[in-house]
Amino acid sequence: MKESFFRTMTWLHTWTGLLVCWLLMLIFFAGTLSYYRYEINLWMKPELHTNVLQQYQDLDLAQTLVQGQTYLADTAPGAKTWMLRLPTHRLPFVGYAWMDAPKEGERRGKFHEHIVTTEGEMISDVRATKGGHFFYRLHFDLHYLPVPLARYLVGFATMFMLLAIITGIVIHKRIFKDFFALRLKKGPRSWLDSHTLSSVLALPYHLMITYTGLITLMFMYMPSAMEATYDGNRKALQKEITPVSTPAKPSGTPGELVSLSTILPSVLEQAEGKPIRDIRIQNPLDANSQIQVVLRNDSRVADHEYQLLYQGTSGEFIGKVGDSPSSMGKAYDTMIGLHAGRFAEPTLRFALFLSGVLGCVMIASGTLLWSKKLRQKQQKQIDQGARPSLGLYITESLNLGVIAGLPIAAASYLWANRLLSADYAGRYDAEINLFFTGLGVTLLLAFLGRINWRGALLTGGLMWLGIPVLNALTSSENLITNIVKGQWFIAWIDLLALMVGGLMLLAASYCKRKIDNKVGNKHKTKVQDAPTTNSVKAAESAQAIKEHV
Amino acid sequence: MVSILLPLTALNLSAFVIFALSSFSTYRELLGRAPTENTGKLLKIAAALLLTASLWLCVASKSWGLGLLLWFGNMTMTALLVALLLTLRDELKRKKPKRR
Repeated sequence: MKESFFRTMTWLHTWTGLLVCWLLMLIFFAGTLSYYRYEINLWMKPELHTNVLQQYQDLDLAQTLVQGQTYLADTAPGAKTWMLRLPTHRLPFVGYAWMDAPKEGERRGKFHEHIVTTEGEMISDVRATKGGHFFYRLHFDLHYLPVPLARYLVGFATMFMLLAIITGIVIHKRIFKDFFALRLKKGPRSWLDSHTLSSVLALPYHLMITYTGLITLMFMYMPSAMEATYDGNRKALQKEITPVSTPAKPSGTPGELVSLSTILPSVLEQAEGKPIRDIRIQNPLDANSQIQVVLRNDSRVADHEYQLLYQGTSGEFIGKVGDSPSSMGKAYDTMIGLHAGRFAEPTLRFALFLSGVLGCVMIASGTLLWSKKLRQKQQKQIDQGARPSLGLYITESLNLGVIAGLPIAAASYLWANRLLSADYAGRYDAEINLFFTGLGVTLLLAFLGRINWRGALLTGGLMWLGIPVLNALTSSENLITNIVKGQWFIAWIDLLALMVGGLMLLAASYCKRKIDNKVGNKHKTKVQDAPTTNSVKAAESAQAIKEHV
Repeated sequence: MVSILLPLTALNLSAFVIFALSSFSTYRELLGRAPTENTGKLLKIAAALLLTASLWLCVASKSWGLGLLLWFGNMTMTALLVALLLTLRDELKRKKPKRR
């Protein structure tokens, strides 16, 4: 019984993992980069690299708000909503934004934002780019696909991932014994080591991210409870969990908005020390306007908004929103908050990012392990001139195409951002298409056998290492000046690019030349068969462990 | 956050170094002799105590939510560091005989 249970779990682990691993790899890769989505955003808008970064505590609040109010009244008198965005740890600059009234058939109107420099000047002309939001959306909406289909695919893959993690824990008997063992250059053994190491070390993260990932879209995946109780009306449910203010309806008669500086003392008092994230004004030049002050809650995990509401023309305080969320609401917000990590300051964010990288390593090493084992089984026939089986051909090509292709694709995206002209009309979509071109070309070359691991990793590594150089050439700042000025928010992407590039080159140096052709493989087997002092040692210690147990 | 980051990392790092030492082969590799069964057990207990201490540190100075998150995150990072250092040591040792 026990043996057959163990076997069933192993089978389940292998096949749930293998079936979705390449899609999961894309999801994990995009999600991991999304931790730095605002950094990527800013990096991809070089117009904002000089004299833009500001900190909330250095700001003259009253002056900024009044300036914004005047500016928006001049620039966007007909807007549906004005937004005065103040610096946060994720958006470290001041922006005056507005949203047009939605056109027919649109859910929301168009969003515009002008950025304020530290000298009080306005920057309105910024290149069109999806920036880091692309990776964020790719993480759960994929691309080119209808959104519901994509989200079901992602949910399917996530459910399989959860299964794979749980069965993985069950079948990994030596979870603590092998805790620190990463034996390199030992064929499948090394891949198993890196698979278990990356899984076990970040296990709390993997469980958390997979489970909360399912929770984020739970109303879509398991709609029956909501259908039964609220007739499928998501808004009714949300209203019960977190009572949000009903948006003020425009009256049609014009009215004069109170100066924001007059309500500021009341805002600061009600905020009780919480910093202001942004101020939204609904129907700004209407008699029935409303001012919503959104406060930050940096000290908590839960992704929950506090708002203070003011009547627009009189400046009268209406009330607080989100002050006492229900326990269900809190639980939901906490899970979403955990998943998105919006609260995380730089060190924690980097830890989350590295855990995401470990997740990618876990997926990659798992599928590589599978294909290495399959190749080992067929090695004799292949050595005698037989062709690898179709399954082996497909997994090996997909492995190379996806694992090496994703970083190449992301690098192409960043390169495209700077190489496409800033005025080119189709650049927003062209950048994204170039991401998929990078991925597609790598996959195609992998299936045609025209590229090997070494070549692909070398290409990717050089592309990433080129990113800081590209930035220095096409932005008003470069890595050094950004660091000197303390603009870590922008410098970080360059630093990250150096790390990724360096790691890819390191990986390339580990790949033997021509690993995919027959001669190379024969050579490799020979090398492996020759007992090195180290493998003898490893065998000895394995023997010792057995005796010890 | 930074204020507890250093003591937390120190606690977790020492916990995982001791934890690594409690494994038979690592102990013999690093210290040159085999550990007795009791040594192994004692090391495991010591590591567990250190991890408990770091958990207490996290929860006491942060809320439960952030504290637990920080504790898990820091454990992942420190354990990864120990694992990579051990691997690096193996790699360096392997390269030496080739040069001779």
